[in-house]
Amino acid sequence: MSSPAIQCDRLSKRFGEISALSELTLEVQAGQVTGYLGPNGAGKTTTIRILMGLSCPTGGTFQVLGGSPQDPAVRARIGYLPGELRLDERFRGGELLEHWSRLRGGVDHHHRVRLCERLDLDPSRPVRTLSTGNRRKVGLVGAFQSRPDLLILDEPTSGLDPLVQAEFLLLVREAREAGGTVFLSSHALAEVQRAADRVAVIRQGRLLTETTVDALRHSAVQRIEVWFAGEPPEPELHQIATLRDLAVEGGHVSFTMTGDLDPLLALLATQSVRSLIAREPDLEEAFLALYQDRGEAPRPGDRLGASPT
Amino acid sequence: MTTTPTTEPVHSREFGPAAHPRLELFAYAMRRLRRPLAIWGSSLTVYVLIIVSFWPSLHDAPGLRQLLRALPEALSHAFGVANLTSPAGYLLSELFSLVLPALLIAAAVGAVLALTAGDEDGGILETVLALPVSRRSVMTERGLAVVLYTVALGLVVEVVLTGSGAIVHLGLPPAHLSAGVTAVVALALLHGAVAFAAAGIGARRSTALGITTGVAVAGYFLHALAPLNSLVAPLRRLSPWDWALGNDPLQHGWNVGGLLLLLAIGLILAGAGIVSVTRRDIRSA
Repeated sequence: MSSPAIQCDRLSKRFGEISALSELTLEVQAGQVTGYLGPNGAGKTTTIRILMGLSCPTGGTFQVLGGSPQDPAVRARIGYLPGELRLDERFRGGELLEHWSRLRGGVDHHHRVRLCERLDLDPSRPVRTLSTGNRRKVGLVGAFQSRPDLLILDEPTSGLDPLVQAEFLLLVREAREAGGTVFLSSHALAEVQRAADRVAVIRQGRLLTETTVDALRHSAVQRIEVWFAGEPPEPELHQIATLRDLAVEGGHVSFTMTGDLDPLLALLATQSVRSLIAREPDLEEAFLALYQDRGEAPRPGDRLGASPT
Repeated sequence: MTTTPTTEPVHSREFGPAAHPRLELFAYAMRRLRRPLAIWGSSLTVYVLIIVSFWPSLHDAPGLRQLLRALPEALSHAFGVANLTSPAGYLLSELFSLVLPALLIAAAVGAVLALTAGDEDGGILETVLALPVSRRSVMTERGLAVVLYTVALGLVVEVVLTGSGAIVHLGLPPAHLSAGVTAVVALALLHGAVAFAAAGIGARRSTALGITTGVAVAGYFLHALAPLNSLVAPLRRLSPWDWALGNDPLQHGWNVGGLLLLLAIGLILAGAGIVSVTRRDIRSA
């Protein structure tokens, strides 16, 4: 088994009185796509900036690709997309990409051109005329163009339209197939779940869990609404153990569920159902579920799901 | 939407980080300074031409000599008009005592802050420092670009002064002119180094600008006003303006001691700025 691409041991970061990160212990396996999930302000960007060597931890130790990101030779193997991407507006997108690739040395020009085509980015346009989404594409091409061993992407899909998001997910998969490691942050489970093998969930600077995407979704609370043609089967609904917060209003029923939906679907199959809404599991609710399951804040390193393959 | 062909050329990861990012960092900084160079260069040219074009009329105005002679000596010294009717005196008072140093300081400090604290405030610096380049080389090469930029502006002033001075028969010895321009450039670079150090230790653009402006204004008043009072007169030796212009290079030529002092302190400040950047967190936008 190869060594982890990212290894954090009790990593902490304080800004004066504020603790942005407390004792984060995290391992990101090489060759996998790991989603780094948490609400805004949870400490995702703080972690990522430490991993890129832009900011120093106030406690704990960490390694990236077996070394320190302070070492340019380590950074040469990392492609980075900042969360707050700001580009020099005096240049064209392509000029910035060329500048970055010269600083890296030996970026394949054709690869860059192809990346621009795939993400539908016109590199000849001045940066100041680009929308937020198009600037993000410049950043993404910049991160991918050197085919790095490790991609660290902070909120990569924010501001991208769905077509480009799909292409981005394809790029992530290709990077993994080529043996690369991807570490990408997001505040939305929906953005991550299609790309990631594993997720690390962080909240208020603490690691809540590190698990597979499937296990997290399974533990997430899902809000479901059903419109019955007749009288809702209230007693039978109550009998489903994983169903909570049942509210009945005429034929309209709303409730939350965790885990498998089989018992609900079996019941609904016997009823006349007019309409049904099953919302995307909400990450906030997934966090709450994690807390409730433990009855306490989880310790770093706790695992929910099965081990990775 | 094509997938990556397998006949891809071998990519560069195997060859390690770029061997020569240095020229690229310097070239990038110079590209950033191209436009300000054009703007400052043409403004300085126009300003110098205007000042020099007044020389013939002043030179032929006998009433002015008498007026200036009537001024108390301390006052005329403070305003730099002590010797207004000699070429050096005229240029010193009109250009070299305040306006030219102030303009070159503004140009150098503006360039430094744009490339350091300004880029950091704007979140642009972070993107570069995440690449396989050391913070030290980024800062060093941006600093060197500002040095070249300021020297180039000094050269513009010197060339325009030489050319237009010849037309109106200013009669200033070329060596003295070079000494004066060099002193002003060195003074501008020193203030650039102050801004560079402030940005290096992590000051935001506005804070660094405030610090540098404070140093420049305090230095100017020490240099210009301290001589008026014999008690505080020795304090003018603390002023960088005094190191550069105290010996009146337009009248007396090169002041090597003052230039070396400016250079040494400038290098120390720049070094402190570079070391500080490598030891602290980089701000994000």
